[in-house]
Amino acid sequence: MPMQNPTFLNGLSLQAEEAFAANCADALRELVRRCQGRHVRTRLRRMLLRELLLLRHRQDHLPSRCAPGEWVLHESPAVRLRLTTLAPETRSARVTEPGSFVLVPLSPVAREDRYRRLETSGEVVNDVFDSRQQLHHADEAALADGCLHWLRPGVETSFDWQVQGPTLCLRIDGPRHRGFVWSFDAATHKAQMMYPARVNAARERLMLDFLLATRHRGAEAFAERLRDAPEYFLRWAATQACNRLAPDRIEELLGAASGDPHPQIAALAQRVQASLEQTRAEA
Amino acid sequence: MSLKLHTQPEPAISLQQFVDWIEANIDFREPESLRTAAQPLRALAQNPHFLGDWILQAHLQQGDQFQAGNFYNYQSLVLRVTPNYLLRANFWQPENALSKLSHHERLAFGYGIPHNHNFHLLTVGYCGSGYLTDHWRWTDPWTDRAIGETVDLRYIARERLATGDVMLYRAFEDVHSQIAPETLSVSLNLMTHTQRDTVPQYMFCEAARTVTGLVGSPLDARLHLAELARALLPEHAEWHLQNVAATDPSPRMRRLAEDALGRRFIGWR
Repeated sequence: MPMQNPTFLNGLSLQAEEAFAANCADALRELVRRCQGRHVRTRLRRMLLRELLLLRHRQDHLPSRCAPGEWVLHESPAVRLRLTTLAPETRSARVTEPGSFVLVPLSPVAREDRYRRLETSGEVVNDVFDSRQQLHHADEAALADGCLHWLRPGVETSFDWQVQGPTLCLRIDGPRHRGFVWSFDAATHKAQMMYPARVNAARERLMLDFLLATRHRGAEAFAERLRDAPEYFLRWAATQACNRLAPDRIEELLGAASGDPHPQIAALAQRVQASLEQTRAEA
Repeated sequence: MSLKLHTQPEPAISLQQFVDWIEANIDFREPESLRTAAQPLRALAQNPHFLGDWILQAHLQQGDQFQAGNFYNYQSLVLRVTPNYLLRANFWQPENALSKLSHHERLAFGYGIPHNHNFHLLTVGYCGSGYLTDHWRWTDPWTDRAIGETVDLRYIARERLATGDVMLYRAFEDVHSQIAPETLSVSLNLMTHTQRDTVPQYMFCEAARTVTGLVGSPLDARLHLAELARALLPEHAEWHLQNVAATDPSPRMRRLAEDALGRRFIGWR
């Protein structure tokens, strides 16, 4: 992707990367302070001006990675910088944050503009969906001061942006440490579903099925790679694929799966192991 | 008129051979020229290993960056993109693989949603039973339409994109709606880019023959950026929007710019 101002963006990304890696409030607050400074605003203004001039002079110019209300300035697995517009909430679902982030308003903010933090209560295991989970109001604060969020073990968090009108912000996200995003009903705050935070997780599942369906010679190597995937459904699909391609590996595969961190995979593998042992004993 | 183009079985070619051929021979501004790529596309589809090989190599080499910059949903793998064309592989999940919360997945795969394109698309069935597609001809696709407006769609036929079949969906005129295949299927798509001065891409209600939605175009980024810039550079951004509203060759872009100037949301439509 084009870097409009590589030195500025690289410097900001590097600081963000270190702050997210430290996962400590002080480092993230320092990042917020930097984003609130005049220097960052001036640089962003220059980048926007450069793009507007390109649009003026070139009918074929398309700003890279610009969507409604969002312009991605930099993206790597460790950090994502974007301009984003917060708007009065109209969504029918509230979704959780898969990683830590900081957000700083760039346009004028009304005194009434605030954000509410909504959290699950009790211990939540991110990749084990529980329809009994519900979001609860945790706290709220003025948007003018910026917002910083860092992941806490066992807690899923969603934000309710309460703004009077469209508000331009600089948002910097850290790595997506959570494998799944949970979706809650906006009115009842009850859990509805979860889906993988990585879009490539769903692609990898399709690619595995495709390689198996076409009996591709690399299917087993690909399945082997996916046995370490962060998403439980990929690990289980990969285990099944390896077994299908090499049935004599069943004991090894079940042994590994029975120690999987996901309880449903572990239980399933243990059940199959027990059933195999019983069949052998009867034979 | 069938969407299918007549092709002959020919020896398989590699992805590189296909790319070399189309880059030497196709004028991507002309649908008739795109039509001549039907035979090489079929020859590529007869190569049973190339896509699997490509997947394994790209996934291993690119790691976390695999398909970075692919803004299609998880159904699509972008194999190559140039200023003139885009080549992608599309997965088509069978009905029984869609989850019970399948409304989202149906939308992702475009099942049961009649729509047209504002680009030409040449496609070949690569593997699996292949999706079925209902095909309509839109008799007047060159007029700018609003949501709810009635349109004249003439039903043509239901056809299957079986392995080796090649179809050409012409920009604007061909309206189609996919039906999930019986088995996981993959198609290869060679697509032109959205035309600069066009009417939008639409979605339709088959029963009422009405426009139900407008699909965003990459060109919209020219307006989305100006909208974002308003907060920090109001005068420059307003100038740009006014300029688009007054002079852009596309009626769609002019209308969107007017909406943006009137502070009406111009999201995905």
